[in-house]
Amino acid sequence: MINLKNKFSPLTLFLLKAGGVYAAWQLIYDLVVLPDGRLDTWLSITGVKLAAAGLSFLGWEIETTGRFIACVGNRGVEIQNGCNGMDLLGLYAGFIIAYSGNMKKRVMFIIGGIGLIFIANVFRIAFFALSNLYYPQYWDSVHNYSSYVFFYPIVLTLWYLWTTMSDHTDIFSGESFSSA
Amino acid sequence: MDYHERSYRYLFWRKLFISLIAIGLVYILFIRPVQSFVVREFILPAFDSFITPESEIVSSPGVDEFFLSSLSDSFPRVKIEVPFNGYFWLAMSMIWPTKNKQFGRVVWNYNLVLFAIIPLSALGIIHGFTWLAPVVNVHEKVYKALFLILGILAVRKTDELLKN
Repeated sequence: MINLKNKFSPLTLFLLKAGGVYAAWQLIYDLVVLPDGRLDTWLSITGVKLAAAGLSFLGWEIETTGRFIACVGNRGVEIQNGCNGMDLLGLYAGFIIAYSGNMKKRVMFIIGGIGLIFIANVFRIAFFALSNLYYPQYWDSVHNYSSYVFFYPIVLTLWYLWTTMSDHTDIFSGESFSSA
Repeated sequence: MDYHERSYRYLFWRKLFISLIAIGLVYILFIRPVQSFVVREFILPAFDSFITPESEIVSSPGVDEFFLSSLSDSFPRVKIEVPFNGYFWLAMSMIWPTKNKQFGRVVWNYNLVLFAIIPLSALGIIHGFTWLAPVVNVHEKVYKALFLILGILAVRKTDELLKN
């Protein structure tokens, strides 16, 4: 049996593991979760409902139908599959799963991070509705770059924090990559 | 923590944030519009010319990408992007301030390899090798995630070095 730990550096092993986790997640998503549709639908509709509740609480008049949200009298926004933050949940969790660390802490970190990304998505949906009310001419830019503002800072910061919390520091020592 | 350690780390983090903001702005204001123009005006029409009228595959434009999908839903929709897209710039905006040449080279060289992988896989799907579609989707997610991971690890490694 080949001993991968002797053959590859800790960094290479980690990248292989992360690549495997992401590949598995994407296959499960494409072949099971997406065709089934329930999780995507739940994420989209719950996000819309929470964003609408938040905006209504703050005094805006909001109307929603399923995946649609709009400020009353304005153009609506539809939260489609692929735009509901599901991708980012997989991206975030994949790193934490692949990067070794205490299992209990890891589970907590995954759950907490997913919760945080979900909340960020609610803010993003609310931001979409408001941008359509106040700056409809900038809709394309708002939509195209919203991930970079709402999701990536959270995901990258949480990844970084996890590397500081985890005891897996041999990734940073010695040769970074190894060849067989 | 002594003064030098604090100042080197402070300077590094400051450089990192400046890099993220500066490269982000250059990407949004210049690179992405150019990539969108090239995809819309040259790349999509070029790939469209390979799709025969009786084909059940259709292409549709995105912003700086285009999509291949099946009229009969026989394969999942595939996103075809240009190399050196947003994920390259995001990863590099983290790697450049760390001066980690090894990680930078990996990300750079892989983007050069994408000049072969992406068109070949798109042409493969257009010519009926539709089993490539899920493979292309998996590859897209994996390489983008690994770019970002290399970016974060470069930052973490440099901070660890400065701390010690």
